Amino acid sequence: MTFPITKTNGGDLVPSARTFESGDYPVKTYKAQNGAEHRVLYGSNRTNMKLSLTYANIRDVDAEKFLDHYDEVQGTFKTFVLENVEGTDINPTCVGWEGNQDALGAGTPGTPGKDYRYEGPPQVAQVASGRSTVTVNLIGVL
Amino acid sequence: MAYFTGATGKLFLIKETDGEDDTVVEIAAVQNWSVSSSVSLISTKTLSQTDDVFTPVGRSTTGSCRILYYQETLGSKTLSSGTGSASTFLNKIIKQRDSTIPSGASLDQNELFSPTKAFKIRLKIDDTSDNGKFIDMRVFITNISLSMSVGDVVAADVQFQCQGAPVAVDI
Repeated sequence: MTFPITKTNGGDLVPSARTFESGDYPVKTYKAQNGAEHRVLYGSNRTNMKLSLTYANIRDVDAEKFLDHYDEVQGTFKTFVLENVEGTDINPTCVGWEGNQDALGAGTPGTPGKDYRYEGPPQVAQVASGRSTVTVNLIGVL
Repeated sequence: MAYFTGATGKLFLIKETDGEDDTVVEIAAVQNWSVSSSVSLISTKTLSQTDDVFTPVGRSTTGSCRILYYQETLGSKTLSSGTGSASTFLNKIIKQRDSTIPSGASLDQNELFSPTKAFKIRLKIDDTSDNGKFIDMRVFITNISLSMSVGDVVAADVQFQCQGAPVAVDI
């Protein structure tokens, strides 16, 4: 159940654009009658990270990998890890990010829980014969 | 070493008729022609790459020509046999109303050959060889501008767009 990180003809499958929302800690906010705000922290881990990956103009055979993976993990049901390329510390989904890779992970840095699941189905837009742009929206779960 | 000037340039209309051989008609009084082919690319550059990487996905061929409007015999549009004039192109898109279309006229530009609405032309450089160097292409005229002004001869500026890839190329 590996998230697609390798092209069909070899080489890393690297996104052309990436956005990351760092989620939040489970906090509940109450407003008192005098206007004062009270916040209750319910958990010690940050959650609900959102990672959006765009793979622009990739070959259709590579775009298909995302559809296959979406099926493998039964849509938005099962979780998965964004893995490194075997035998390296390169994570193709994080390429270009020069900060700590954990910062873009699904879990709070330094704590367990780095799983993502699909927030919705991958969007595949055909841009030319044999070429498609794939947008994948993931959400971090503990 | 041989160079070519405008004197070696020619423009032909290739007439197609169902079930018959093509006839090549030279367009007289062509002042210039040009053809331009461009390739469209999509970027396949990914994060961390510094330089652009592309994949070609399409090609577009367009052209233009300027044809003087004249008459061999004043008052008659007819030219010598096997020759075409500016009217040959003008009449392809500037048409009078057709009784079969309310208030309109046919958009077909190839009246003699129904399978295609575009017509064939040949842009030629006469290098003294049998066929010269040429580009045959099926085109749609996209714009014609017939202009008249004091101190200038009447001429039609024609712009055309190639339908598909050129039919034959030897250049």
